[in-house]
Amino acid sequence: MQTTSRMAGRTDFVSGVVKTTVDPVALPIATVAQSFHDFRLGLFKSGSLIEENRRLRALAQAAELYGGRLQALETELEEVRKLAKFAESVGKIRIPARVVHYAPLENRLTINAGSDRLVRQGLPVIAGEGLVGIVQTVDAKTAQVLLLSSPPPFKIGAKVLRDPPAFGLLHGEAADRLSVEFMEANTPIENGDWVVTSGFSEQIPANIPIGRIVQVRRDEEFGTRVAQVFPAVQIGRIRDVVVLR
Amino acid sequence: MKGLWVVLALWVCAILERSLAPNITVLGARPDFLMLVSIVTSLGLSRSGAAVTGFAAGVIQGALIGANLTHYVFSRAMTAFVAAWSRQLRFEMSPLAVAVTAAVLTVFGRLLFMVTAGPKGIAGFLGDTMGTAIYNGVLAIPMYALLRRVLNPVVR
Repeated sequence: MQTTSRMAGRTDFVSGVVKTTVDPVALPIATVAQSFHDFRLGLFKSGSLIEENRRLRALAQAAELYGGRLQALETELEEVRKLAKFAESVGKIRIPARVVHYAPLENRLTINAGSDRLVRQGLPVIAGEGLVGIVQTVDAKTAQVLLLSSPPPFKIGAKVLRDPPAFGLLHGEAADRLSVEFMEANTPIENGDWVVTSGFSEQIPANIPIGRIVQVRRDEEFGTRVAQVFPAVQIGRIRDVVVLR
Repeated sequence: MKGLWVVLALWVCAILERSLAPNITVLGARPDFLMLVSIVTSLGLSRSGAAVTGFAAGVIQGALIGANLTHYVFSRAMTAFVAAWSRQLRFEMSPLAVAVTAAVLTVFGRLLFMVTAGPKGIAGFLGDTMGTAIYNGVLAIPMYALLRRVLNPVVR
């Protein structure tokens, strides 16, 4: 029952009952508890936070300068896509959400955006540094996100930023280690190369950062090449994410 | 009446697990409220009652995370059963004894979980287990003090 519901992007009946009983009380408390936690951290790290705040302000000002130009380019690109009769580009609508629960052992986190904010199964979830995971099940006000660190059968298309780019399938191995398999044993990849989403998906846009290659090995048995990737996003630290719809 | 208190304790701990646990980490260790409540309440329940409590704690914990329920249900039910059975050792229920029992059974329960679910990164999991066991051991003392009046533990 649980697997069937999950495949359909829904929460199973038992989990639904538990969440309905617990979440209405727990989620507001979680918000307050997070604020206290942030306050406590702020007391100990005020120096570095002030420095970070200055840096972010500078970045925001720089981004503002390019905002108008970017908007014009996006509009132009969309018109070209329409002219070429391409499908509508994905990831245009950004739904901000907060992480309300993180279960590292289960490679899952819960965000406070659900079907009420038009979140649906399969949508990518990103943080500032890159891709976090994919929405697996959706409730009215929350959604479960399956993290990139999830082991197979969870796999997504990945691309190594080289010229020409190399394409492979990425899956999780541990919280701080991902793995990309390339079908060709001689795929030209090296340590330090950036891995991003391939874009060969209806829902996951291309070029969302995933991480950097830290080790490359050849699987002699299957004639493939495997790259170990250190994820760009440190999941334990993120609080705010964006769902791309 | 005792059953009602257990249900209430499970509900409160589910809320704490969902809202408070991620925000009160100490050196990376976080408490496991649902395992803790199933252990502490089981100290005052029969073995069958404890197994049911552990079963319910496992269902709640797995459901809240969105994980496979089987591993959680099995490990929590077995842990609660052993907690109830441990009363046969007839040790005096001092605060220290409760803390040690909760810590040891937390390690037991998480090792059972590890064997059945096979999480990746076993070294990290074992490190987390030790931290959680110590945290649970400390929290067991006030929780037992709160619950013992309503559960009225019996020695068999």
